[in-house]
Amino acid sequence: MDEKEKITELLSAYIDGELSSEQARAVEDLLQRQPELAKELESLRKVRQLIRDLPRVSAPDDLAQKVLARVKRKPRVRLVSIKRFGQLAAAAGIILLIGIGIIITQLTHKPTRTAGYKSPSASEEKTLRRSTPAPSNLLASAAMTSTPAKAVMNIPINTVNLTLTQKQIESILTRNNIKPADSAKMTVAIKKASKPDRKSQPINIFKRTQIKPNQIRYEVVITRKQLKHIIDELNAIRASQNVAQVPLITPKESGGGRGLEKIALAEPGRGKTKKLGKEREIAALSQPAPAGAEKIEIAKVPTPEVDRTWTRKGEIAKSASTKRQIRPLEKLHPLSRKPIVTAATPKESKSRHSFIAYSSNKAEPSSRKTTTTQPQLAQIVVILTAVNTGR
Amino acid sequence: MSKEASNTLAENDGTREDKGKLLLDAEDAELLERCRKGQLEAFGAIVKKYQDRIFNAILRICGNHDDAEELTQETFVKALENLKSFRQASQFYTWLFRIAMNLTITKRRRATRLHFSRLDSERTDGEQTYRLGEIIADQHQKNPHENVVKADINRRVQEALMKIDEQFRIVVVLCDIEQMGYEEISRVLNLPVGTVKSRLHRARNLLKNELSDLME
Repeated sequence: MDEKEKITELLSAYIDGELSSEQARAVEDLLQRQPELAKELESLRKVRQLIRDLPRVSAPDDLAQKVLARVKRKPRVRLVSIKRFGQLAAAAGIILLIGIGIIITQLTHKPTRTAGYKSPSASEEKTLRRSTPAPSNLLASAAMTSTPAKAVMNIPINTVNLTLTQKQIESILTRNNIKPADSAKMTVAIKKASKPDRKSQPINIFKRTQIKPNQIRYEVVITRKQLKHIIDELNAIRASQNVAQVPLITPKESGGGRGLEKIALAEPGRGKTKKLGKEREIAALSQPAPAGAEKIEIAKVPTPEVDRTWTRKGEIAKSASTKRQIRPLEKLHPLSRKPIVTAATPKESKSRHSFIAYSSNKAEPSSRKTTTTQPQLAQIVVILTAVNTGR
Repeated sequence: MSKEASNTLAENDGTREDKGKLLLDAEDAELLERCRKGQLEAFGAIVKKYQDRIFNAILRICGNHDDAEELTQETFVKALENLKSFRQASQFYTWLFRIAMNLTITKRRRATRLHFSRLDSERTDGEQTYRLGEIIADQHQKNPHENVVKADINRRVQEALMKIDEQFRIVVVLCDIEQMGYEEISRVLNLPVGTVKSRLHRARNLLKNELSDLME
């Protein structure tokens, strides 16, 4: 930038009042000494004035309505994050929907080839993986016969003998008191289990579906406790196949979400779904929000004046005394914030549903504390996929 | 008082005095708080409060009424989506303008649907056909006959604006139309103040050349 340009740049800033008093004085000195600069200044002022004189055009009258309509239409722009509530509820372990879909694939080649098994080469491994339905497909196919699962765990099994594997799986299921059910019963069961704040009861049913001549899928709704027992046995089936097994599909890949595996395998009463002791719950309620966080109580807070009244930051929002009334109330409030604590004071609340406090602070998932009165009964999803690499 | 007139007054009253003002306007703070509580009508009030400023600025940058409307809508939707990230360290409208300008620049670059129309292109509205430049220039002229000269000048200015590079146009619009200070423009565009200063200077020089006959 040459000297002249530097000076004209100063002139531009001068007319905008953006120079320090010293710079402004220096410019004024220059203007007095150099008439051409004064002319330049005048031109810049005129240009600025021409732009400023442009009429202001108002937005269309219906713009606000259109924006609000878009906001209402767009699920992710909802002021109240129902999805988040669903996730919270799932994470809380009030009830996790668990479906176990077991897909057993048997290739159209020789049904048995257990002897002289040779590890697949790299190319064979590729073929193997290609022949395995993608996790998303599994989920999609599972979703076709059930309501969308909150969490699904895939456990693929490669087999060379579909009949034998089928017997083994059903033996495991029946041994664990998991009973066969028809589609209608399964649909109802999954629907019941998917309700996060529903009183959790063991469901323990499975449904077998013959997808293809060489594929069988099992949808199983079981408790987390049972999963812990059968997962080892299912893994044993995988290990006994003498064929390469597709690595287990993590819950995250299968849409189960972060931390699901831990929840799935947690001991009842331990882990993220641990039930808070009553004393802890009371203590948690009285805990102040973390620095910079806003503690918002959306829970039922019975007071001497107004019993069973839901309050939010001291403002009476709605009277609600049952869990069924909780969810509509939740929708009234932006619950996109992560919970910092869940707590209930047993003397004040007759409801099994606990108080939940939310913070605007971005709490780590690990800091989520939720309660469930029967954590060991929460359901969980695992999809087992078996692939046969036999020729 | 017309909507336009009140806007103009508001602009003139709050010119550079707002420069450097960082604290959140009390009215905005209240509306935002209500928004966070899930009150949609509060968000509606925010839209109504800022829609004209955002729309006008985008319109002057893209020169197309429909695109400006679309981008203005998107600005507010995006603002609501990202309300949590607004840290209240700056004026809400600065943050809003930042979203608006980012959207405008991004859309312009993608140049898919958003092909900024030439001002001499025509638009049919019922039985009448207008030139876009005339629509923008004359929208608020109550008496077109009396203001024909002024309208022509405005059209020329808008055309000149559309001729200069977008990076210069945006700075001019924010400085001279939105009457933001350099500091605020640098926050909106995420640019150093020095860059804002030099772009503005270059923009004015380019406009001066384009409008040389109006300078006399």
